[in-house]
Order: sequence, then structure tokens, then C-alpha cells
Amino acid sequence: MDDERGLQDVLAVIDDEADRKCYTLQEQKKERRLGRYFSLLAAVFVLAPAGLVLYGVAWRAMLLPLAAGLGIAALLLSPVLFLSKGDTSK
Amino acid sequence: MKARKKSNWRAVIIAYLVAGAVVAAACVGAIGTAFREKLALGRAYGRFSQACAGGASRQELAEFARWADVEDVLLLDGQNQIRFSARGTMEGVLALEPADQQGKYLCDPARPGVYYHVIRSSVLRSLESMVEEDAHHEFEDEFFYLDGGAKKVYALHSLPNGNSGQRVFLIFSFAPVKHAQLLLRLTATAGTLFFMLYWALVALYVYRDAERHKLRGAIWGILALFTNLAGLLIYAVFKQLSFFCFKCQAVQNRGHVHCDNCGARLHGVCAACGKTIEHGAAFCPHCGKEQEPAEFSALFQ
Repeated sequence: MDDERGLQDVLAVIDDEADRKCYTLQEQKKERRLGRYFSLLAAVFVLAPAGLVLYGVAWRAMLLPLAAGLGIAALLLSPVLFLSKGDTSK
Repeated sequence: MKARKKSNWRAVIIAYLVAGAVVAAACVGAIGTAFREKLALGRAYGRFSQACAGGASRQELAEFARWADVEDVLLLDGQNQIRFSARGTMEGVLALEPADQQGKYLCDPARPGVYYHVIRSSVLRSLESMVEEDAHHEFEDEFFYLDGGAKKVYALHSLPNGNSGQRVFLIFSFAPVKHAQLLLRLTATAGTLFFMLYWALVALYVYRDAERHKLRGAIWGILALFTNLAGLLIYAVFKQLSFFCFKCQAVQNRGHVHCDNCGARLHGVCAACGKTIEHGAAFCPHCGKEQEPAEFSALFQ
């Protein structure tokens, strides 16, 4: 009886451990995938505008979307900044 | 623990700046070489217009007419009588009248098949039209295709010759710069490439730094990729408010006594109440007990 309970306990621990390991592996996989997305996006960010300019699109035409994008980003992220400023707890 | 290769950002920035300077110098050099005659013409025009402001002599008009793009330099009196033609191509009266409804072109009934496009401000203005290989025929294309072609369009610029009441007419036939369009496009591409490299480097810095601090580097990196300086600022503020292990730089909960990544001791413990206290604290923030410097140092040994 005690042996069976001990076995159940061990199985429960192993089950938890397996779940934890699965979760860790999934997280690592997700991280690697995100890392690949980041690399791909960075390459697109570098090559796409340069390619467009090489193709013949005026570089001046990209200034407006660039400025608008930066402005919107700053506007959207500003609440985070203001919230962060208030949080000075250590 | 897997050792992560430390990024040498100073070397990256220096390499980026050096490469940028080399490419910029190469582009400026190539453009300067390709446009050297046009730039020289621009400078010569500057000197010539100053000479005209004080009243240019016929010799000065003839000297300016030697430039490759200058078709002729005329000196006209108040009645549009040609007093001097530097290249001797014209004589008599230059009676210009609008050739089209918009008034973009002028023509002289005495010289059929010859049209003039007026450059109102400066010769340098027309540099733009020199860039395009096709721009040489732009005026003809726009206005004369329907007319069967075989007509010549010159650029015309006039300026007063001192206070004599006479006017100097500069007639240009701009030859396009060879491969200028390609050269300018390549320069613009190089500029865009370097600007976007800076953009990506900011994101890469955030990515690597976040990874170093055991944060989700890809998320921070993508945020910085889309928001650039705003994202970098947010990341800097986040870092300022976070607490990192002095040894492995992993982000830590402020209550941790030991780093959960490398095990390094992060805080001391008050001898009186046993609660965690900041490194270097003179008093315990929980019980108020004064911490002995020697005793405090011993905690970190």
C-alpha cells in the first residue's frame, strides 16, 4: 500500500517535471522563433527601403511615413513613459 | 551555463561610422567627378552674373560663351536689337513671343523651328534637368512630339548688363551628364541603406542587451525595430527601474537575496531582524538598526 502511494507520488512529481520541461522547451522554441522573426524583420527594414530607392522610388517619399511612424510610436509609448516615471519604488 | 559572446558595441559603432564615411566620400567623389563640368559652369555663371551686374565687356561675354553647354551669349539693346553675338549665330532683332498657350515656350518668328524655354532664376536651377538622360529632350517630348519633332529647344536666361539698359541673353543647350541618374540613385540607395542600418543597429542593441539581462530579447528587439528611439527610450526607462544581478546581469526581483540565474549574493541580511537590506545601507529599512560597515561588508564575503 505504502509502495503504491510512494509510486503515485513519484509519478506525480515526474508528471509535473515533464510538464515543466515541456513548457520550458515550448518557451525556448517560441524564443528562437521570435529571434528568427526579429532577424527577418531587421533584414526587411534594412533592405526594403534601400531596394525601393534603388528601384526608383524617391527617398523623399519615405520621409513622411517615417516621421509619421515615429510620431505615432512616440505617442503610443508615451503613457508607458509617464507611468514609468511615477514608479520609483525600489 | 552557456556562455554568451559579449557584443563589442564600440567596435560596431566605429566600423559603422568608418564604413559610412568611406561610402559618403566615394559617393561625393563620384558625383563631383561626374558633374565637374556642370559645377564649373555653375561657378563660372556666378562670376559672370557678378560681372554683368557691373556691366560685362564683350570679351567677358565671349569668354563665357566658350563653355560647352553655352550655345551663345547675346547682348541686346532696349529695342531687342542684337548688338553682339559671342558665337556669331544670330543677328538682327530678337522678337520673342509665346509659342504655346501656357507660355512655357518662346519662339522667334524670324527663326522657325527654334524654341526657347526660359530659366527664370539661375542656371544652377537647371542642374536637375541635366541629371536625367531623357531630360535633354524633355521640352521637345512635352511640346513637340505632336508637331513632328525636328525642332530645337534651348534654355534661355537673361540678365541686365549693368545700368546700360542692355540685356545679356544666355542661350544654353544642356548636355545630360552620362549615367548621372544611376549615380544619384546609387548614392540615395547607399544613404538609405546606411540610415536603415542605424535603425536596425538600435534594435539589435536593444535585442542583445535584453537577452543579456535574461529578458525577452526578441520582443524588445521587435518593439525597437518598429519604434526606434522611442522604443530605446522605453527600454532605458525599464532598465532604470529594474534590478539586475551584478554578476550575470539577469533581471531580478528586488527581494531576492541570491540571483536566480547564477546564485550570486545580491543583498545583505540585517543582523537584528534578518530581513534583506540593500548593499551599502547604513540602517535597516525594516527595523532601523544601524548597520556596522565591517559587519555589513562581512555579509558579502
